[in-house]
Amino acid sequence: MGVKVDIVFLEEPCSACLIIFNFIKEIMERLKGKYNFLEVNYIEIKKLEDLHSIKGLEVEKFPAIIIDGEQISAGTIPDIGEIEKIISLKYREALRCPG
Amino acid sequence: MNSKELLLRAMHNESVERIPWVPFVGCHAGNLIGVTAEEYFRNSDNIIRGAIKAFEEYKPDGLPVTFDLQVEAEAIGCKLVYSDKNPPSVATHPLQEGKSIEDLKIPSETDGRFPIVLKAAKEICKLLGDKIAVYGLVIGPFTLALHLKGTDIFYEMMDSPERVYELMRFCQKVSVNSAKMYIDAGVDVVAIVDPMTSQISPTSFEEFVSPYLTPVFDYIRERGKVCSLFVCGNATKNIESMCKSKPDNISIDENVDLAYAKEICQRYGVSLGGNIKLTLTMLFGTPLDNIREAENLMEIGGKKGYILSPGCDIPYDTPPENIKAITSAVHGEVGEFMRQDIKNSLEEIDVVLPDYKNAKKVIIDVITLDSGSCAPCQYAVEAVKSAVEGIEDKVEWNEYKIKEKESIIRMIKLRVPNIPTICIDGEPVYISVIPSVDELRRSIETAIKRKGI
Repeated sequence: MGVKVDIVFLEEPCSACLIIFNFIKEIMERLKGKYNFLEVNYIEIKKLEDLHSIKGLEVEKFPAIIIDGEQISAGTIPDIGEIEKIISLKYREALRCPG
Repeated sequence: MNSKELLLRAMHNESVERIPWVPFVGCHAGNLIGVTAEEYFRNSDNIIRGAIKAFEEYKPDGLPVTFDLQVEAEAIGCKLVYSDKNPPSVATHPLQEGKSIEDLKIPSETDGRFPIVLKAAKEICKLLGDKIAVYGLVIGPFTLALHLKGTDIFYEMMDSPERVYELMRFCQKVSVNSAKMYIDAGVDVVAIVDPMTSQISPTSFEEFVSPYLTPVFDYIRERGKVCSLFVCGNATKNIESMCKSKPDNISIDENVDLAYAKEICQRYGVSLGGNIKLTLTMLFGTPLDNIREAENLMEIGGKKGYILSPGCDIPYDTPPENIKAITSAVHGEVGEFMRQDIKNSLEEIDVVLPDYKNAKKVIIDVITLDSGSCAPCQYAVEAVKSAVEGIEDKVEWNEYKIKEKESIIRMIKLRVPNIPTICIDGEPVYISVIPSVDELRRSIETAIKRKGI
């Protein structure tokens, strides 16, 4: 039982998106070290059709962060404190409703 | 007026006869010359060859030497990870790893990849500098601060702002020194590229960014060069603050509404560049998508103080045909581009033009991309609709959308160079110009009289 984080990013981002993606990766690696129930997946978009299969993606700006199927950011560096709050909330929900 | 003069006038917010075009070719140049992004960014000969190829292929009015926001960071001590298709990424942040600002050195001509980039800048200026404007791209102080400090900077902005001021003072000195090195190499425009400022509020921009940007712009202007501020991301809220920081020009990406930015920029006398969509249009779109977007943006941007450009650096794999399609829209060569682009698939199609001279009505052909999605095309069709009101018995008009192959043949046969074009009795009369309804009506009435209808 854990919390699933999907980071959706473009295979060929512009310079700005690339910088943001690297910061998001750093934040996620930090959080992974802190919360052992966190599962982080990186989903690379190679063509537009790839977008249709991503559950929870609503705003098509990248990099996007989706936590347990809910998109929480699009094209921005998130606040690590906010991410931690959401992760904790999702974990408590998962504990209350296992499966 | 050559391309360079045209661009510099537009950068100074003057009116020009044609909207200038600057494709931000960075790693994409590697693709153009058949090397990886890493091979391109690490070799001055490749950077030079890439710029020349981009100049030949895309007929720009300006080009960056290269587009790499990591040069300064690497020279100061950030470790980079190189890639085949993207610019390098910053992997370490010295100020997160125990170093202090006092340990950091302002990079000189001999540090990091500066020898490579500056050699390329000098050679590109020598080869192309009399024809087009050459841009030197310098990382902005805030983005450099993020590279050096990592995301902890956002907490320090709240908890210890004086430490951020100190870091920003260092980054400002780096930006000034990089600008100096590029100007000494011969560039015409220095663009301060500070994309991460889109991540902060206008209040934070004015507190933590503007005081360190304005002196950089002042320095560039003192050296007699043009200064530009590039942002990426949704910088809508910061456009006014950006203008107040006093660059000559700002350049925005697709997240900002061009009309909104234009209105604010004009209020401050700042010229504007942007903002062709990089992924949806340039990387994944068709040539027609690119022509449509260029036409729409040029309609909004207008001929005073506007430069057509992508929202940020062009992706490595962007099809060159898409970029050439934009070039054709800029230079009024859409007809020729379409003929070259699809000549093989047109052989089996023929279109018989009407006998314009002997037709019993005046025939108006409106050649468009699609009036449903291209703003200038829509205005052309609306002008015709209004101008023929009350004289429909004497005039026949049709819209021909060049997304249909038959319409491309018609466009070629009518010798229509660009879209939208209004032809009257087989003659292209209004090419890329939307006439007033009165003017168009007079032209139609002249044609009616000529035919004795």
